[in-house]
Amino acid sequence: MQTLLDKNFFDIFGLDETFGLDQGGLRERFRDLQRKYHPDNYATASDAEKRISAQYAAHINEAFTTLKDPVLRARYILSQHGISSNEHTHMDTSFLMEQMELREELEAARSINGGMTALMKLSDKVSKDYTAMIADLEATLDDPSEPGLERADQLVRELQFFDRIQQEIEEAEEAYL
Amino acid sequence: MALLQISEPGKSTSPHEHRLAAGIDLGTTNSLVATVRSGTPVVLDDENGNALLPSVVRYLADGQPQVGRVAVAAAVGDPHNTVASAKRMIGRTISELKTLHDVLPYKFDNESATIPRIITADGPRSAIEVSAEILSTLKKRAEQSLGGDLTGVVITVPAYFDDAQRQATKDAARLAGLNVMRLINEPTAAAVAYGLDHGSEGKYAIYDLGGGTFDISILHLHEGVFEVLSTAGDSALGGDDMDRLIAEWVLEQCPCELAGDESEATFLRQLLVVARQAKEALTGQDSTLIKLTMPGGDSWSTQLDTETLNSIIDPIVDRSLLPCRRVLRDAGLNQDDLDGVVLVGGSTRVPRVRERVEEFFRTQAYTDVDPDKVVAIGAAIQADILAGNRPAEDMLLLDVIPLSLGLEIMGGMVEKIIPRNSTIPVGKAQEFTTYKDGQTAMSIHVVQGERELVADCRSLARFELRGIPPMAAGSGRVQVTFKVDADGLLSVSAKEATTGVEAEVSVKPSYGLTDSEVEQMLRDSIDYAEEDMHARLLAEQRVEADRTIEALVSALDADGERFLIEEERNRLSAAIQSLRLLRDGKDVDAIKQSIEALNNLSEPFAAQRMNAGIHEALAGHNINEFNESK
Repeated sequence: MQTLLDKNFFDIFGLDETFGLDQGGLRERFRDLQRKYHPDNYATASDAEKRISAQYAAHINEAFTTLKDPVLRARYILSQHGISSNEHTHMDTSFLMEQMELREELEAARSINGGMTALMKLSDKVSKDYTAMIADLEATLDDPSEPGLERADQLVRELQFFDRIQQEIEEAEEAYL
Repeated sequence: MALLQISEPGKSTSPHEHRLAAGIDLGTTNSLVATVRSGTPVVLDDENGNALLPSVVRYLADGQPQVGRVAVAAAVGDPHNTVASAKRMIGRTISELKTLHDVLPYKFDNESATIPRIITADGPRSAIEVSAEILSTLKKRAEQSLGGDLTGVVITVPAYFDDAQRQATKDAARLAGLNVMRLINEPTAAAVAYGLDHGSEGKYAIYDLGGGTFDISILHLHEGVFEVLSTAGDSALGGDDMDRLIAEWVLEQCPCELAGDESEATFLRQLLVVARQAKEALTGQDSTLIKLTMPGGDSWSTQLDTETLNSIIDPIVDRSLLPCRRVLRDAGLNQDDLDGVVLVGGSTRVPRVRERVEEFFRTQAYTDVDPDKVVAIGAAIQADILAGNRPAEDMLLLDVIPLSLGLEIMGGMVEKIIPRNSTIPVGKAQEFTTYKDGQTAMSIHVVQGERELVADCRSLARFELRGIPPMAAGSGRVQVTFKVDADGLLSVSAKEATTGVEAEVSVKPSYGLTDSEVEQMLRDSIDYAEEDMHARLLAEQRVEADRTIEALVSALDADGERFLIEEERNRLSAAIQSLRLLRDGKDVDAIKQSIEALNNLSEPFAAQRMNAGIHEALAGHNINEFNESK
C-alpha cells in the first residue's frame, strides 16, 4: 500500500514538479491537508489513528516547509534527479573571493559606531543578489538538461552561502535592536 | 468547506452526547477556567462571583493548603509558606532561578536537586505541586458548575515556554487528576477567541504581556485555520517586573533601612503590594498616593504620577519590543503587512504599554475582549472541539515551536535539528558517524535555544546509545530522530543502522517526572492520601479502554466493510470483546496490555482509512496527477 509518506512532496499537494510553483495554491492545499490529518482531528480516535495522524501531519509539514523555501525546494528537485550536493564541494574561486569581501564588509559594519545603517545596506545588497540568483535558478530548473542541472546545483550551493551570510547579518543587527 | 462534510475517521462522536470539557489559563498572577455552554464560551466564577483565582498557594502545618484570595490575604504575614508566581519557577532548575533576578522570599530544600522544592510548613513543595493545587481548585470549580466529571481540559502555556516548562505543566495537570487533551499557546488561544468572535481574516500580531511572561506571535487567519507564522518572547518578563521596579523606586524615596531579618520579607511583600496597587491606580488617573508602614511601625507616604511611572516601566516595554522585531523578521513581514495587533494579558492595561505597542506596530490595538479572560475563552473553544462537541473542521490551530532544538557536537557546539518557528507536529532525523575506531557507545546531549554554544542553551536531556558494533572510525552511522508532538513536547530516539544490528533508546527529557515520581507525589499529597491508588489507576485504564473501544467500533461501522475482509473484521471484533471482558475486571496491567494489543492490531486498518482520505482532502482541487494508491 502506497501511503502519503511514500509520495513525492509535489504529489502530496497535487502540484506539478516545477520550481516556479504557485505559492498561494501550495498554502491552500497545505491547509486542506492539515484540516484532514492534523492530530486535533483525531483527539477522540483510537491511539493507532492518533499515531498515524501525528506522523502524517509531521510529514505534510516537512513537505510544505521544503516546497515553500526556494533553496530547499531546489535542493529537493535536484535530489529527485539523483544529485545530492554534499558530495562535491569545490567552489568557484571568484565566488569565494566575493564571499570573503562580503564577510569583511560585515566585520567592518559590526565594529563601527552606528553600524546599523551599514548592516542594512549590506543586507539589501545581499538580498538583491539573492533574488537575481533565484530567477536564474528558476530558468535553469524548469528546463532540466544535464548541464542545466549541474548549473542549478552550483547555484544552490552559492545560495546556501548567501543564506548563511544573511543570517549572520541578522544576528549582527540584533545586537543593535 | 463542503468537501470536508464526508464521514471521516475520528469524528465519530454521536451528536447527542455532550462531553464536559474546559479551558484553563494557568497564569503567573491569576488563573481562570472557562467552558463552552450551549455554543457560547463562558468563564466560570467561584461561589463569590469571582472569575480570577489568584495563583497563590499557602501551605499550613496542618490541614489543606489555602488557594487563591485567602492565601493572598495571608501572604504579607506568612511570606515563606505562601507561594506566588509559581509559573516563573516551573520547569526550571535552582541555578536558573538565581539568574532570573527574582527576589524570591523562599528557602529551597536542596540546592542540587533537579526540581527545586520550597521549604514550607507542610514540607518541601515544588512549583509543579503548587501549580497542581491551583489546577485542582479550578477543576473542582468547573465540575461543581457543570455538574459532572471533566472529560478533558486544554491548558494554556506561554508560547515561549521551552520543553522543560511545558513538560512540568503537564505533570502538574496529571498530579491534579486532569486529562490534558492539549497544551496550547496563550497568544494562539487569544487569537481563537478574537478571530472566531470577529470572523477576522488576515495577519495579526498578538502581544501578550502577563504577570510574569511575555509572548508575541504573528498569526495568519484564513477560513478557520489559525496558522502561527512566528513566535518569540521572554518567559521571565511581565507585570511582576514592573511592580519590582516601582517597589525599588519607592525604596529609594523612603527613609527606611532594611534590617535584614524576618521583618524584611514582610516589608518587601508589602512594598510589592503597594507598588502593584499604584500601577493599577494609574491606569485610570494621573497621580496616586503610596502609603507604607515602615519596619519600625511608622507610616510614610509619597505621590507617584504617570510621567514618573512611565519612565520607571519603560525598560520593561523596551525589552518586549525586541522580540516584536524578531517575529516580524521571522515571518518575513513588516508592520504594514499586519491587519492589526491584539493586546492580551493584564499588564496591557497599563496605558504606557498600549501607547508604545501602537507606536511600534503603527496600528491601533484591539482591546475589546477582556485581556484577562480572552486566553481562557480561546482554550475553552479548543477544548470543546477536541472533546468532540463541535466539528473539528470549524477550526484548526497550526502552531510552532518557539526555540530551536539541537544536539551537542564536537567542541561544545550545537547542531540545530529543528529550527525555531517550525510548524508542529514535526519530526526530523539526522545522521552522525562514530569518530573513534571500535567505538561502541555514543553520548547524545539534547539542547534547546538559538545560541551556537551548548553552554548558552538549555540542556534538555542526555542519554547514551550503547551496543554499537565495533567498526572503523566513521563507519558507524547513528541516526538521531527528534519528534515534537502537537503539544510542543519533544521525544528523541537514536539507532545505529549500518550493520543491521539496531540499538534504540527513547527518552523523555530528564527534568520530566517519571511515572513513579508522579505516583509518589500523589501518595504524598493530602488529597489522595485516603484514596486507593489502585482504584484510581483502574478508573483511568477503564476510561482509556472505553475510549479505544468506542473509537474502533465507530470506525468499523463506517469503513469496516470497505477496507477489511471478513476474517480481519472478526479478528478485531474478538480483540474488542476480550478488552471488554478485561475492562470489567480489576487487573490494571491486563487492561493496559489489551488496549495496546488492540491498538497494534487495528493499526493497518487505521492507516488504510487515513490513506483513503488524501483524495477527499484535495478533492476540491484540480489534481493533475491523480494516481490511485495501491
